[in-house]
Amino acid sequence: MTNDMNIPFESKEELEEIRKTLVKEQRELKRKKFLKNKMSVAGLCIVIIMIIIAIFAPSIATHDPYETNVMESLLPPSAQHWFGTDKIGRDVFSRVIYGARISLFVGVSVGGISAVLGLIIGLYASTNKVLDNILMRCCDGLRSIPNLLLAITLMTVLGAALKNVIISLAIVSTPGVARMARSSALVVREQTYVEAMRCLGAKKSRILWKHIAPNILAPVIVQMTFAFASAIIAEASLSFLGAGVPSGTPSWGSMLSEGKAVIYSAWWMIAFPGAFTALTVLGLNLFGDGLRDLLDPLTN
Amino acid sequence: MKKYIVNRILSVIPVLIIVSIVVFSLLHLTPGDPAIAILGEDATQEAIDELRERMGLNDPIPVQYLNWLNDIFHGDFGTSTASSGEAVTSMIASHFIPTLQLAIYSTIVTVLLAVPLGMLAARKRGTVVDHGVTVLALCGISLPSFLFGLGMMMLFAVKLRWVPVSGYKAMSAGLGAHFRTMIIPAVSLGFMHSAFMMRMTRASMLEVLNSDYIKMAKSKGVKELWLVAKHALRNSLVTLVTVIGQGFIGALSGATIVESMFGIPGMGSLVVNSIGRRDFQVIQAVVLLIAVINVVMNLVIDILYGIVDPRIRLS
Amino acid sequence: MSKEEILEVKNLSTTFRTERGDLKAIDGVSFEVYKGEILGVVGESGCGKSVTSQSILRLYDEKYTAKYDGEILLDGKNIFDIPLKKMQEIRGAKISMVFQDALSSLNPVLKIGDQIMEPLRIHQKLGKKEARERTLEMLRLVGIPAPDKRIDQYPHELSGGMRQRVMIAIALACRPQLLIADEPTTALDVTIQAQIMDLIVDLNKKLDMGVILITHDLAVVAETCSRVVVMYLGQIVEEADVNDIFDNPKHPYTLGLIKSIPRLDGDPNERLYMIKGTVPLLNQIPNGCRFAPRCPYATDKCRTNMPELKAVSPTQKVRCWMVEE
Repeated sequence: MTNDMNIPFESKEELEEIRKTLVKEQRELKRKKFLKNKMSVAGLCIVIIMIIIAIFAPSIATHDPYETNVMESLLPPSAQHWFGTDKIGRDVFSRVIYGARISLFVGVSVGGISAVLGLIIGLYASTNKVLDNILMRCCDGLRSIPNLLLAITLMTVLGAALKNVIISLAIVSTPGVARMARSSALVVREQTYVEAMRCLGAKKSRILWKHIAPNILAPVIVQMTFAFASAIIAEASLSFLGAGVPSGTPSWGSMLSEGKAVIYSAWWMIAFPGAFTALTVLGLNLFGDGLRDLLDPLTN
Repeated sequence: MKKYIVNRILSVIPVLIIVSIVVFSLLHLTPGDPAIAILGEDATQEAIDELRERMGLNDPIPVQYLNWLNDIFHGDFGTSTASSGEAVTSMIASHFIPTLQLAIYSTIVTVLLAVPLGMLAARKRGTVVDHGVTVLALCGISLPSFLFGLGMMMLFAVKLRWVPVSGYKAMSAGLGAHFRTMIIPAVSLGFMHSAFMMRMTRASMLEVLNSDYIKMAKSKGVKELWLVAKHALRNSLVTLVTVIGQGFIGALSGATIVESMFGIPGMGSLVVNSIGRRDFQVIQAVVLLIAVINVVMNLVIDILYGIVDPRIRLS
Repeated sequence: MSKEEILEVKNLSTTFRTERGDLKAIDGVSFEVYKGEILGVVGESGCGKSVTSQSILRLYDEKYTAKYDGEILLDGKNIFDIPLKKMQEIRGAKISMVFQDALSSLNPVLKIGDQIMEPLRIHQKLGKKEARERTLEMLRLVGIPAPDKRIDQYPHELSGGMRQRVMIAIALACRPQLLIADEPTTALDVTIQAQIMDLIVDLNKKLDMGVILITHDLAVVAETCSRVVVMYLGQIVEEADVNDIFDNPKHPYTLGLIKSIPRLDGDPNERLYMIKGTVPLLNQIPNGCRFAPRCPYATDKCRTNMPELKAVSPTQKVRCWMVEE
């Protein structure tokens, strides 16, 4: 240990310098903490693998996921069909691989849309009392309807289509993000530097987007990961109930539903899509937890 | 205390109004004519006109909303637009009991799993036990209830044949038979929720255990067990109230998928069956009812908070 | 003066296990407390005063967070030899403690009566009625008006001063031999502070118990204590009778603390003395004398070699190279 670390400091500049090194050290510590947290890294790896599978589905799949072959109905896993076949002879492995596309596409879209919408709603709600009341009451109203029920209702009204699944689930998950963004924005608004910008006469919208928005991005991103995960669960649930993507589409949820019908004879039809669903959601949750510890100072 | 309760009740009214508006407008999101959406593209003009008349679709929307609300206050949720033409109110009444039973059992599962494990993890913070519970909670959160249910179904119904795969026996058919049909659904429904609750219990228990008043109690010579039982638990009662309330709400919400999966004739199954029939009236009614139960449960939780914690009712 | 020793702390060290490695919060602290005296422990924040006091009651979690070394002798028995479960018989009965923040230290969901009764029922096995009687008596003793009304109130219904009195009532309920008061007045208004200090001095005389008063306020020490221990960065730097401390301080740190007290008879235009810098963090403990980096008299020897705590008179001990020469 060198002695100069202990030399007493007197000037403001020195104090500021020390504060900065402390902040830097803290950040370094956090990064190390994330990497040291093997669980979050494992989660990230799972998510990346799933994304790769989804993108390269056509080259990974061994069969055409839509191709039926009645002669090969309900075959158990074999060298020919790694995950077996379903009731009308479609290759379960290929369908699971293509299912990753549906799941991740829905997850990413819903996560992205609800993050953007939630951020905008939350930001504007934080600026105006009346607007805040209107927006937040609407969010409360939507939030008091159970997610899956709301999604089912919307799907019934809109009709079975991938696009409608995304719209419904985005409507379901936006209020949560909006609430989060709003409360973070209210905290940031009161910070001295925002106050200072206001005193300097910066335009309202400029303060909102240039100074407040970047500072509430972290909690919104964390929330987005969790919205991503729950959208995957919700899509699978909807498809399981027959209220999701059109029948025939290779989705994990609809495969599970088909598997349930033959639960006595074909365990593979439940085991494989089930494992993929659970693994993806687990990966996202692990990653989200690590991210939250890293980004959100409130939970530390 | 009285003032606190009255205030809480009054604050719920605007939320209920918003909920009713949201639920009402869901039907009107339909692109095009709801009557055509219900009857299908090839319906005759007479049939459509007749349905529009019956549903009051020709009135201006605010009038429709007020009529709808008025009917609901009189216990009339309209008639099913499916072929049977049954009154929605009686349909709900006949499907209510199984859902209520399922929700109660699943809440019991949630509390039994979440509270002891959460407390254990907090007491043994940083040990293998704590990590084990944390991992278990993560698995629970990542396993959708229908997936967990499918797994349980494969194990207990298909492999071990302890319970039937699906079906429902009312209590009148004997308690044993009743619980044989309900246990797996209740556990699958309770498990995912207990994972959330376990995390919450652990966190709030840790907060209590690290508080100054626990240090103070320790310095008074209070024994470990008593410390947890009297000082910590009393403060964690707020947590327990939340676990029970949220567990119940979660069970009601999640019941949809579990009921339809295990063939339990509850409100969830009613909704799922109505999807195919495009029976909007039924879906709307169930959604409204569950949302209202949700809001009321939250109100009850709030009021219980006030009873458990003397600080809350004064603020 | 016949002094009866209640507590002897011998070479006490407390180490915390943290993410950044082990931190020794106090290092080789030794002192004694005698019956009927008030021992002041002073120092800036972060000097290990509170850690010392909480270590005496073994309040830190020994399984995960803390490790103790050395001995603490109570009635001649080392309390570190006592099984943890038996510690409960000492806490609150023989040694009890008053914490700084009464609002967070009182359990918010229990009536104050219940909280005062608790040690009585645990240690003296009193029945409900007797305990209630004694509680009312305690409330009167600590000067709470209308005790039969207050006994059924919750902590948040009392004022800050009243809450602190309740804390003292809890601590003294079982008539302990030793009371540790950890900055009992820091969170209070100045006028209330004086009242609480008077109460502690008064009860110290009435009950003839030993008191360890932890504070950073030297004015309070001057008025109430008979002996003083000055701590810096987990070590004792000076120990002396209160008169010696103020009239003849030997350690530069003690001197600095005394010089930084504002005085009524001082020159109003003169700037108040300040000790340079702040207490270093525990992971940046200097080699040599721990105070050297902030000491105006420090020499090269001070920066490389650690001085020992040496007696300069029968009643005064100092840890400084300057005193040796």
